[in-house]
Amino acid sequence: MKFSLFVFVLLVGVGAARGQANAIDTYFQGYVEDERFSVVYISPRLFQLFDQIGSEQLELTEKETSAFKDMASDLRGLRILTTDIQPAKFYQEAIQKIDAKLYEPLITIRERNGGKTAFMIRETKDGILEELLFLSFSDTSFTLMSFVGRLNLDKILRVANEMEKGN
Amino acid sequence: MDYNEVKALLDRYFAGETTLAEEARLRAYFQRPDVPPEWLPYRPLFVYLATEREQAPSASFDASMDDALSQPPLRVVWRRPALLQRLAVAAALVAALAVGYAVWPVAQVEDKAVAAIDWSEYEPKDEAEAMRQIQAALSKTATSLQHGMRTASEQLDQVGKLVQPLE
Repeated sequence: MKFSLFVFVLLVGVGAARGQANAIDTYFQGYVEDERFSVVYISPRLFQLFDQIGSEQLELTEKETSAFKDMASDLRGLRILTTDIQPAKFYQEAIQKIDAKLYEPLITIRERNGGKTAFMIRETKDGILEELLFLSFSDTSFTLMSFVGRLNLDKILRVANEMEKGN
Repeated sequence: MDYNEVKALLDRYFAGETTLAEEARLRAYFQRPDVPPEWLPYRPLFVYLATEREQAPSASFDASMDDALSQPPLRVVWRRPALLQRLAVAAALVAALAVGYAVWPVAQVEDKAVAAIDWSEYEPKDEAEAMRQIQAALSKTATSLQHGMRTASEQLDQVGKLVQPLE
């Protein structure tokens, strides 16, 4: 009886641990420790700093700055892994590592130069977007980014729209 | 021995009451050729017993017996019946699987907890660099997502035109 209770508590603990982890902690610890990868982590503190910066420092228009800050305000963490070694191989490997039951492919783009970009999302049971994965490779590099927070795709697209208008 | 004495001994012999000496006298008596006809059926028995008593073991039999007696005494080893052995193996396997099932998720949790990545060491030390990283990541993600959405939308438009009914 005690043993059954022990196993039950363990399983619940595992579920909770899985729920809290982001994709990079879950699937790509090896890449973080791999010296072929550059690793950057943006903490919530840095996002708060970003919110306090003026448009002059960002060299953006007021509308662009507003859109960026609006998007950044939802984020609680950003992890970036990049490498310029065997980009296609790492992209394929990364796609295969991700659990398709947890991460739903949002969109996959095949570029004219042979590269690929994929967006994958993880939602809560209530349908709230809590992680956005960006995977992309070209001839020269492979990039993997994990955005964690209560994300809103409309806010992300607004950044692109404002940047397009600015150009 | 006279007739009556032999008769009495025979009666006692078949009643199992004769001594060894009396049995020897009977064996000696039945060696005689003048055994009365009514006792002739008993003669082969007593002749046989007398002949067998004269048999001596061969030299090779004595030697093999001496060999056997000079060997150390055999140890009695208790062996489990085959069914019990199989049940024991099955129980051990079930126990091993149960332990494995219980420990495997623990090992995974430990991988995550004990070997958790210390992300603070990957934070940009320079705040300006952090802001540049945030801006670059957000703009790359936003433009790629917009490009993907736009491409998908255009493709859907194309499909929509193809499936329009002919006028």
